[in-house]
Amino acid sequence: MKKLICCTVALLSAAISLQAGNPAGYVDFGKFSPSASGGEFVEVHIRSNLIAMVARLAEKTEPEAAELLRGLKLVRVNVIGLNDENRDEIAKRIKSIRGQLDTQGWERIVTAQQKDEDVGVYLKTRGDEAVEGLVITVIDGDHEAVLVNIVGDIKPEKIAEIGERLNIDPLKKIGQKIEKK
Amino acid sequence: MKASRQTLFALALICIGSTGCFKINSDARTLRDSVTKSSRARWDEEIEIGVGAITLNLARLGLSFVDLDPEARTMLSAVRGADVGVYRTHSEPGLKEFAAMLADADQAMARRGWDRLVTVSEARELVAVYVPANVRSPSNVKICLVALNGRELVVASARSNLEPLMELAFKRQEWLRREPARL
Repeated sequence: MKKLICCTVALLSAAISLQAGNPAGYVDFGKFSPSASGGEFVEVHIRSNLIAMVARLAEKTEPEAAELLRGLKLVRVNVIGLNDENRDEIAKRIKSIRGQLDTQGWERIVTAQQKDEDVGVYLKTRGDEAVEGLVITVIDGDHEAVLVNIVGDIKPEKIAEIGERLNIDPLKKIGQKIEKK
Repeated sequence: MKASRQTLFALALICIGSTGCFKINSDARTLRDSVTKSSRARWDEEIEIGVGAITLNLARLGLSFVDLDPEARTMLSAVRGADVGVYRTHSEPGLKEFAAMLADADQAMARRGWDRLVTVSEARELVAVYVPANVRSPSNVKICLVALNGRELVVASARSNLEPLMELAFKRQEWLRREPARL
């Protein structure tokens, strides 16, 4: 029994320390794998050291881009092609991620359900000054799901620029809306 | 006599180390082994080439007499070393195996301190790119990639100075922004 308690305590403390290692604004989407039926699958996971290195390289030629990049700590993008095998499971996972964000103090700034498209955009803010994290969830009809998590110290007025630079359409639109406000 | 043998042996070692020895390096080998093992297929080697510093410098020297596009010259000058292996199998791995292949490759590469940066998969194709987790300096960045297309597997690794390449990329981006109509 003692061993069981010790193991449980050790596992819990490991989990807590892992949680503590993640920056605010980070969301664990879990693991995704290519579908067995050969659907589209894209995963991009860019960590802070690589972002910092590119920011340093961009300093001379693109100082604005460099400043923008310096604020970022992590960029993760998942694109998962949907088919009969994974559609329900992916929809469930996205629903669960959205529920998790709602309960963890994330602000849902966009909910758009048009035709077959279901888009949710969430922000984790620190006061009025900065955005610590951004999550975009998209279920595009029957053919694909997209998850994006951008972590960093992001100025709200720079969101559109990040969308432009990283070519993320929902971000471009949201950024424009925030700028208008 | 003994001394000259030792000198020859040392020279041979230097040559093998610096030219690349026409074999892929240990990082690329780890990636290849993890993918081929989990695919449960037998893979035959078609070609394996490793190009080290001496070979690349000789190539640069040779190409200095050739009228080469400046961008191509910049790219060539940025490369510090490259390894490529091409393999073929008779029994194409099933799409179900892709997830296992990725998981095994992740595990094997993580043990050597590498992270998966990009993965793209569609139909019978799978591409995964790995970078060292502790990459800091742009002057000698290593990448490893595996590309599976049906019955063909390509494993490659490269060491490069990113600075001139990034400068090139930024110039290109600027050019595209200025002249989008040309696209």
